[in-house]
Amino acid sequence: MADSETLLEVRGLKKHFGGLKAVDGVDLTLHRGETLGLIGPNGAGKTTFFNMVCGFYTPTEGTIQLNGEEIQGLPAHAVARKGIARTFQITKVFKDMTVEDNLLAAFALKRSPSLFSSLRRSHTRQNLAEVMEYLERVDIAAFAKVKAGDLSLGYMRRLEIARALALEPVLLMLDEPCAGLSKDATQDFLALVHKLRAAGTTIMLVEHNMAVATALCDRMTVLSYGVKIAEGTPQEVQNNQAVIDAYLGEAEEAD
Amino acid sequence: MYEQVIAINIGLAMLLAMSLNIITGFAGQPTLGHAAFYGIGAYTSALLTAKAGWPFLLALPMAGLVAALVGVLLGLFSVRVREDFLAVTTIGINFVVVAVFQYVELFGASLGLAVPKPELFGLRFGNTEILILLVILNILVYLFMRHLPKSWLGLALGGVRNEEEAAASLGVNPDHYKVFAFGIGTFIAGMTGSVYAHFMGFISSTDFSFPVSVGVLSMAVLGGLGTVSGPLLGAIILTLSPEVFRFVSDYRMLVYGGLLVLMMRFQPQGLVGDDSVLRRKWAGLCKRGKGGERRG
Repeated sequence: MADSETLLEVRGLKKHFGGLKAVDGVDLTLHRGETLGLIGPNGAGKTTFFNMVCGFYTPTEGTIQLNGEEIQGLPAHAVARKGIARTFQITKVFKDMTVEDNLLAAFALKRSPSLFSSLRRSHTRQNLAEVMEYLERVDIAAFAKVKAGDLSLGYMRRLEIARALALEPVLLMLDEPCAGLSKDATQDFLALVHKLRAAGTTIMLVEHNMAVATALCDRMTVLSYGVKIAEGTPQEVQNNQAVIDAYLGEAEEAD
Repeated sequence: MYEQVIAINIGLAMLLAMSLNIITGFAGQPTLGHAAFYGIGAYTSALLTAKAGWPFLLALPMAGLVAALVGVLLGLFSVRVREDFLAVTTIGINFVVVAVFQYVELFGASLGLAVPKPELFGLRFGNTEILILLVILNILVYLFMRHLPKSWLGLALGGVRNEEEAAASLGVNPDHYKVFAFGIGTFIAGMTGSVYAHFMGFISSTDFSFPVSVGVLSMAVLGGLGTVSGPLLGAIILTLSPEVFRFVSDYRMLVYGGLLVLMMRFQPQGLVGDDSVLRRKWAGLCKRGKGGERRG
């Protein structure tokens, strides 16, 4: 079924927490090289869906295929080894380690295949030079020796993205990458994602902010109450009546 | 000789503090039962040499392996419990292990075990030989500790210590690395126990009781958890202080406990940790030195 253009194929994905149907039968196809936005109002099941793809939740039902291989239910570290890298909504950098060490930790995936090989030296000149290349790509090379916990939120986000890129993933997943960023930092971030897109990276991102999603995505999938209510280009989605209702409905409730 | 005995005690303490530092400092897994593994190593070595007739040099690594085996089991368990629960669990393990030593006939029960002095090529191990052995072991473990932060293992443990989920997202299996850290740390503690048993010539269950674990933790915390040389400094200070100050030996637990509280409150990074008072002073001195040179 999956042609060569398809990278990720999700079929009938469900996650139930007791009686709550957080995600209830979502299908989704992601093509190579595209940027797909997963949007929807609060509590729509975006993050739950995201966490199932990354291996942080086990789906109640359904399949997730990456390059035709079923990966649903694999633990997070195994999913990472299959080539899916992620960032976190609440950044999770290794605070007491330097920016350089944070990034180098991601290299272990390729350089240290087993537990016992992990005893080998990681800080070789070649590895450190490669670390700097990644840090330069996200413009934080100047902070290489700084403790990651001392960075501003915007720079932590960049570090997380650099760390994810260092895994050389086939799919990069960003969980609300602009949450909590200042206007300037958001602009910088948009520029960074555009750069990644131009380089051919396949990206899936969860985004709450419609404007950010519209600016970044080739296609969008809209979730509401655990089901997919729309899919298409940002233009199509914005004019979709079901989407307008879902978002406006939320606005009414907020009032 | 008095100085030799103190040097041996320091050597033992440094090994214990460094081994605990791998588990608690680097992997971030709080353990309050480290003396259990020290004891398992000591009893293993005592039984192997006294009852099975093994040579000391074979019993030494075997003591490490047996302790590591139990340590790996604890590690597998620690994967299920976190933080404070793990700390409480390890206290329990310490008491259980001591109770086993105290009540099981094989371990000499309340009478303890006599341990033969080791011989090597007809040379009887006196305190000097024990001291030389401890210096060698300390150098080896210290070199390992120096290497650790610059290794894939150190980076993986750093990830697990800081943010387990983020470490997993980088392909690190947090459970494997935690268990590995427990294995390495308890292996070193077991070997240290073996040296202790053969140095003392006699062991009993109370040598490995909970206060010993607290003492080892205090050393690591005082010097700086997760630092390379901090636990060495902590071990030296806390082993020497009862010799120098009488009250420290009278109120040992009070000193350990008070130290833990004070360090956690005022210098959680330890004496040699990042941005500690000691380090700032040292950096200030270095700067002043350089400034002087420039002026000259």
